[in-house]
Amino acid sequence: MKRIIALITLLSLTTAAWAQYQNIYSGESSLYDRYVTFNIAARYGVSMPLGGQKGYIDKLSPTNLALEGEWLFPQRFSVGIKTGYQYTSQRIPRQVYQYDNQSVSAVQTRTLSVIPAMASLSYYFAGNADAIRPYIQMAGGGAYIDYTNYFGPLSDQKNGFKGAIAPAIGLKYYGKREQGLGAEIQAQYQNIFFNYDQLKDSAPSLMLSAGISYRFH
Amino acid sequence: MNTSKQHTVGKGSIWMILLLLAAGGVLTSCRDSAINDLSPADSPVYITNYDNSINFSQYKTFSLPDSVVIQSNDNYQTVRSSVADQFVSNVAAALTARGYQRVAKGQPADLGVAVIRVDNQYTGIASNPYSYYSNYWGGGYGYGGLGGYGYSPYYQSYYTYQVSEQYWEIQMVDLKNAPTTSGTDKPQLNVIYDATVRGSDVTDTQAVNTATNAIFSQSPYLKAAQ
Repeated sequence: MKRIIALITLLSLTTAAWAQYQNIYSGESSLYDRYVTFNIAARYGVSMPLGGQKGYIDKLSPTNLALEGEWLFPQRFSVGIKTGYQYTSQRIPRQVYQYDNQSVSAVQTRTLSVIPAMASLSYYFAGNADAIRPYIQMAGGGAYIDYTNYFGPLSDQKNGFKGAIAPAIGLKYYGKREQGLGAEIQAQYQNIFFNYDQLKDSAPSLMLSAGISYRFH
Repeated sequence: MNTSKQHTVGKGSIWMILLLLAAGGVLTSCRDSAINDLSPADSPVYITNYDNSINFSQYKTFSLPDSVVIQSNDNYQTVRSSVADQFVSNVAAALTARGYQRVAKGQPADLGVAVIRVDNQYTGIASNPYSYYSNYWGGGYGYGGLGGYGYSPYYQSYYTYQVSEQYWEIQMVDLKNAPTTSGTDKPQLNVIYDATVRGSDVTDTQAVNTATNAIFSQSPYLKAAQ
C-alpha cells in the first residue's frame, strides 16, 4: 500500500512538473525571443584611411581584427562591447621635413596601431532567432592609439587613450532559424579623436570586415 | 526555474567578457617591428638647425680646422682619419661652392666652422670642449649656444647631456658679430647653424659624401652674397 501511494505521489509530481515545462516551452516563440541571449563575433577586416589618417598613411591596411560581444534583447535591440586590433604602416622614401628652423632628412616608417574599446547599440531588422539578420549599429567610447613614426631607426612616438565613435551597418547570416553558428559582414566608419605631427585633425577610417558569428543562450 | 535561468544568463555574460578580454590581451602583446627591413642607406637621419633671424649672406669668410674634434664624455681630442678628412674637405668644398672663402689658421674670419665627432656613452656633466676651436679661430672666445642641444649661453664651462650615441656634427658660430670682451670674461659666441647625422654611424667616405650632400642641399640659406 505504501509503495502504491509512493508511486502515485511520484507520478503526480512528475506529471505536474512536465505540464509546467510544456506550458512554459510551448508555443511558436523561440527562446531568443523571450530571454536575453548572446552573440559573439570575430572578424578579419581591410581598412581604408580617410581624412587625417590618410594624410599620415595613404594605403589600405590589410591587418585588422574585430571582436564583438552582444547581449541580444527580445525587442531586436542589442547592447554590446567591441574591441579588436588595427595596424597599418607605410614606408615613405627619403625626403626633407621642415619644422620652423629645423630640417630633417629621413626615410620615414609610419605606423599606427589601434585597440578600440567601445560600447555599441544595435538595431536588427529581423528577429533574434532568424536566419538572416541585417542591422545598424552605433558604437562609441575610446581607443588606445599608438602613433610611431620612425625617422630612419629613430622613433617619434605618441600614444594614449582617445575618444572614438564607430557607426556601422552589417549582416549576420546563420543559414537557418535558431542555428548558433553563422557568418557576418560589417562596414564600419571609425573616427578616433587623435592628432599628432603628420596626422592632422583626427583619425577616421572605413573598415570592411567579415568573419564568424555565434549566438547562444 | 527562474534561478536556473539567471544562472545561465550570468554564465553567458562572463564567457563573453572573458573571451573578449583574452583576445584583447593576446593582441596587445603582438606588435610587429616595422623597421627590421630598413636598409643601411635608408637609416641615416640628417638634422639641420639654423638661427632664422640670421642673414647668412652677410658672411664672407670661414675658418675650419683640418682636424676633427672627438668629443667623448668629459674630454675631447682631435683626430685625423680618412672619414674625418673627407668630412672636413667636403664641408670646406661645399661652403666654398656657396661663395664663402676659407682662411688660414689664426686669421680673422666671419664664421667659425667645427666638425665634431660626438662619442658620448652615458648621461652626465661634461666640460665645454670648444676651447680648442676658440684658440684655432684666433680669438679668446668662449662658446655660446643654439637652444635645444645643451649648449646654453648661460653656462660657459659645463653642460649636462643625455645621450648615449655616436654621431657626427657640424656647427657654425658667428665670429663676425661676436660680442666685445669686457674684463676677463670670454664673450659668448652664438651657434647659428648645426647639422647632425643620426640614425646610423658614418663609417666610410662614401657615407660622408652622402651625408654632406644631404646636409648642404637641405640648407639652401647657407649662401654668401655674390
